[in-house]
Amino acid sequence: MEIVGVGEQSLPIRCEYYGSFTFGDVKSIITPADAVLTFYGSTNFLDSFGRKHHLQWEFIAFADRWQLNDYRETREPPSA
Amino acid sequence: MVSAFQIFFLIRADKTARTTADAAKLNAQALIDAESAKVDVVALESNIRELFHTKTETDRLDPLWVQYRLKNYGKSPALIRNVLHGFSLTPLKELPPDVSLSNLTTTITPFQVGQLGQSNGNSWSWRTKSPYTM
Repeated sequence: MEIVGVGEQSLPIRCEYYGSFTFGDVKSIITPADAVLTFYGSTNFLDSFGRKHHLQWEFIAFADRWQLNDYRETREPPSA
Repeated sequence: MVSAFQIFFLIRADKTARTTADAAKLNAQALIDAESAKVDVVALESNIRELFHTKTETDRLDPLWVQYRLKNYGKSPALIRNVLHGFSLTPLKELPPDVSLSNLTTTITPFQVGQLGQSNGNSWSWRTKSPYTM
């Protein structure tokens, strides 16, 4: 758990590919592409009003950079 | 006759009260939304550029990594309870038949800090060569 104040950023969060990422994997993403590499994630956070927010994101690797493909937030009212 | 008028005014008063209550509720909700915490993914860094510029099979490949932070753009603090993330490497032939890479390149919205992206409308369900890692 971490409290992120107004205008502040969290500590760095790092994600590493589990397992070996091979030359063949790289080539499969580059033209002619026959595979898609995505980085995805989600977080749950509470606001000051006790509401639970759920944030999801998904980036796709394109031409050696990440492009945002999906980004959505849902929230639930405070639990009683 | 008088009773009919009274009933009419009673119903109208009830409707007005309900409308006023709904409007007050909406206002309160809007106020809460405006003051709420808003969290975005920022400062995305990765070694993907180095990996993509790998020339030969003998070049050393470091493990793929991504590093990022969560920024609170809202007007009150956010309590981050958990974060899950992962990579997925999926052969195109395993994607749903209505999804193609050329479609993606025309519909993707580049990531900009502080700006919400748009879904491209495709519903994808593929997951994952690696499990969620933290």
